[in-house]
Amino acid sequence: MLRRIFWNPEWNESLFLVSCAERLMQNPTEFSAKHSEDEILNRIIRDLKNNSSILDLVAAEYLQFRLMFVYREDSQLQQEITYHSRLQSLVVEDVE
Amino acid sequence: MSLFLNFDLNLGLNFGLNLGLNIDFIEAIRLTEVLMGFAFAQQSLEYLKFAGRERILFVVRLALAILLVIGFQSAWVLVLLLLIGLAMLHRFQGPYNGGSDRIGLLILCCLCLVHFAPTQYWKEVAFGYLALQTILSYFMSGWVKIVNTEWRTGRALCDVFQFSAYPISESLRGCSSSPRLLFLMAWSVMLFEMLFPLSLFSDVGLIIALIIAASFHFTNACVFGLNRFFLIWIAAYPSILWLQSRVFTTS
Repeated sequence: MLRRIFWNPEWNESLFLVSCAERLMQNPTEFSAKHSEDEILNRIIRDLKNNSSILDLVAAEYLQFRLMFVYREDSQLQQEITYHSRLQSLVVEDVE
Repeated sequence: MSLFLNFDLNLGLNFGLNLGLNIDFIEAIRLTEVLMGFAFAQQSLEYLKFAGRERILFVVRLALAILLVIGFQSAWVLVLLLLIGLAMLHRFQGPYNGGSDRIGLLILCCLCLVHFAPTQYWKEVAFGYLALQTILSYFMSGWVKIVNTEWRTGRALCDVFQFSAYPISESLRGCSSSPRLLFLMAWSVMLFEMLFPLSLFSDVGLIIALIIAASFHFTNACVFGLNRFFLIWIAAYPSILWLQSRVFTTS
């Protein structure tokens, strides 16, 4: 656990993805929305490439992510899918 | 030749013993630079693990952070680091790491002003501003929580452990089933943050408050993975220590 103080790049990437997701929900400009979507897509693609077993298993040609927000309403937890990304071809190296 | 004169003379090896209750302006500035340099170097190394085309930006940032730690041409190094900070804001369309990036930029701006301000008065104003903003960062954080019913009842912290997006381990998520403990934790955090400014009135009180605050950031780093907050917030502490000795210590 102590190691996390000095080296935690994966978790910081995760936190940035949370920031991107929140930005997508805050009525961003078209440019800003594309930037956040690209950042999330690029990181998912990178993870898929780094984990070839998942890629073999899925064998998908396109990628789409969705954002699901969990919130509390009274004492109940509610889930709501608030965003669907564009369909991104997995053949392309990087999202531009 | 003058470029090399302050190479390791300012490394700040005497800071540890001198940190006590009185820290002079020059020492505080230098200690802030050293701590921020370490924080920026650590951040840059983390960025480099995943960086793509922007890799060069973080290589330069890492080199500048090292120069800042050893005290080589600090004023200009700070200006370059500020420019890189702005480039990073553009690259990530905002802060990459939320509050830790924001306070990093605040420290950078204030240190640049300290180095380039025309008089000692304005240098102290700039550094004092950093101290006040850091103190306010705790107070406002406590205020935002205490006016929120979810935080007052302890439910907010319960929800954080139960289903937040923070990368919490499964064993720690089990803490959400201990509402009484989380209630106590929530109120401890809120009261500490709200009362933090009062610590300025006591030398010992401030030292204790800073140790508790650093421990708080340390815990957040371990539990929630917020390691960058720990390192960069500590870099702002010398400004608070200096402000306290400047304003509240009469001897």
